[in-house]
Amino acid sequence: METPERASSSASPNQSPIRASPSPLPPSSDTRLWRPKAARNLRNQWEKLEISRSQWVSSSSDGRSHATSLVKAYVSLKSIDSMQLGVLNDMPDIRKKAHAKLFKQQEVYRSKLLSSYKAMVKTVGDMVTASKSMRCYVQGSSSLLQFSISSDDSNDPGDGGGIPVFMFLPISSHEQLAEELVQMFIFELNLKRLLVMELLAIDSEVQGNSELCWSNALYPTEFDELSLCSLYSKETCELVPPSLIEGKSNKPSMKFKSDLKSDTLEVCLTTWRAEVNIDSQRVDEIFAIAREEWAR
Amino acid sequence: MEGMVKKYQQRFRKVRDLMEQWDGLQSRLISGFRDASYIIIRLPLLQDPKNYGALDSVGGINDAVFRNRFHSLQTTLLSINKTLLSFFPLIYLSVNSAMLHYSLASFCLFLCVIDCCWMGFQFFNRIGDCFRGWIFREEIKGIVLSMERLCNEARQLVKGGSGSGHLTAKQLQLRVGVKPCLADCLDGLAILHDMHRSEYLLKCSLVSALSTLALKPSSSDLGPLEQLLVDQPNIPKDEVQFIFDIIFPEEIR
Repeated sequence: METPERASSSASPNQSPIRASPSPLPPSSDTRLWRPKAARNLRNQWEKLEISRSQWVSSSSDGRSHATSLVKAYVSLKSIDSMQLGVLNDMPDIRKKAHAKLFKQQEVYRSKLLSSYKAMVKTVGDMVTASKSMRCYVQGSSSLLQFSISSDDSNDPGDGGGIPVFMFLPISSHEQLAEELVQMFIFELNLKRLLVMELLAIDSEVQGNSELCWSNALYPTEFDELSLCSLYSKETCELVPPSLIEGKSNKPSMKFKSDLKSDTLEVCLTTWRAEVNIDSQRVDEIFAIAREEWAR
Repeated sequence: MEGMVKKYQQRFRKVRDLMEQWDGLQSRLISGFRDASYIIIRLPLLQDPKNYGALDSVGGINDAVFRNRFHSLQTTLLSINKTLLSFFPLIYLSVNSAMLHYSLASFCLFLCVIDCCWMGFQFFNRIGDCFRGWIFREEIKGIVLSMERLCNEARQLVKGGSGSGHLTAKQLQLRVGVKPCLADCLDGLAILHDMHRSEYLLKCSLVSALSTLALKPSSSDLGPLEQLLVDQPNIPKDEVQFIFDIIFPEEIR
C-alpha cells in the first residue's frame, strides 16, 4: 500500500517491488537506509549506558561515604553518655550540645544517603530505557522513509532483518549484551535498597524495631521507578526480594532493627562497597565488545 | 677538580629526581597498604553470619561478600608488591647483589603466602595455577630489567671510579670556595644510597608482615606497621637536607 506513494517520490529511487508485502527481511534499499540510522541510534544507546555506568559509580561511592558518616554519627551518639569527657565535663550542657549536634548530623546524612539512593534508582532506570531502545523501526508511510525507536507496525521487528549493524553483531546480540549488563545493576540496586533501609532504620532514640518496613516506599515516586527496573510489580503490588544475581532469596520478613551492633554496621558498609552483583570485569568487557563494534 | 665536583653535583640532581619518584611510589605504597589493612581487619567480621542483620535474607550473601573482599585483598597485595618492585630501580647506585637476593627471597615468601591463601581458601583453586604463573613471569621480568639497569650503572661507576682511584686524600679534601669537596660528594652519595637501601629492606619486611597477617586476621595491630611505613625511619628528612645543603651551598637562602 505504500508502494504508489513512494514510487512517485524522487527521494527514494530504486524502489523494490517486494516492499508491497511486508516481510521480516527488508528490501536492500531500505536496509541501506536503515543501517546508518540504526547504527547511530545503537551507538547513542551504548553511550548512554556508559554515562549511566559512571553515574552509578559516583552515586554509589557518594552513598558509601554518606552511609559511613551516618554510621559514625550513630555510634558516637550511642556512646556519648558513657564517654569520658575529662576537663570538658565542666562545660555546661556539653553532653546535651554534643548530642544535639550529632543528632542533626545523623539527619543530614540520612537525607544525603536517601538522595544518593534516588540517583541510583534513576540511573538504573535510564539504563533499562537505553537497553530497550536499541531497535530501529521504519516509521510512517510517507514518501520519505522515517525511522524511530518506537514501533507502530507489529510486522517490523526493528532489527533490519538481523543483519549486523556495525561489523558483526546484529541488534539482538547488542540487546543481549546490554541486558546482561543492566541485570547486574538491577540486582545490585535491589541489594542497595535493603542496605539503605537498614541504614536509615538505625536510630539511637528508638529501642527495638523501627517503623521502616521493606514494603514501604522510601520516597513518593519510588515504586514507579522501580517498576521500570522490574523490581516492583504493579499488578501484584509487590517488591522483588533482594538477592544475588546467581542465588536464591528468601522472602524477607523485613522488619528493621533500630539498634544495631557496630559489627553489623561494618558488614553493611562493606557489602555496600563490595557490589557483589556487579562483575566489573565483565562490565568492562561488555563495553569493550560494543566499542569494538562501532569504533571500526 | 672543579669539573669533577660539577659532575658529582649533576649526579646529586639525578638523585634528587629519583627521590621525587620515590615519594610518588611511597604514597602509592601507603594507599595500597591502607586498603589492604582496611580489608584485613574486616575479614573476620564477614565470616560470621550473625553480623549480617537484615542481609541475612539474601541467600549466599556472606559467601559472596567474603569472596569479593578476599579477591580484592589479593589484588591489593599484588599491586603493593608491584609497587615495591618499582622502588628497586631507584636505588640505582646499588651494585650490591645481596639486595637482589633479598628481594627475590621476599618475593618468594610472598608467593608462599599467596599459596597458603589458596590452600586455606578453596575458592581460587582453579585459577590458582595460571595466576601464579602470571605473576611470576611478570615480576621476574621486572627484576631482570632492574638487574640490567644496575649492571649498567655499575659499569659507569667503575669507569668514573678508575679516575678517582688515583686521587690522593688531599685532593679529595680540596675545597674551592663554598663548593663541596670530592669527599663530601662521595660520602653524601654513599649515605643517601645507604638510607634508601635500608628503607627499601624495611618496606619489604613490612609488606611480608602484612601478607602474613592477612592469614591471621585476629591480629588487628596493623596500625604500627602502617606508621612505620609512613615514617620512613631510615630516611631522616633533616639529614637529607643537610647533605644537599653541603652539595649545593648556593641553594641555601
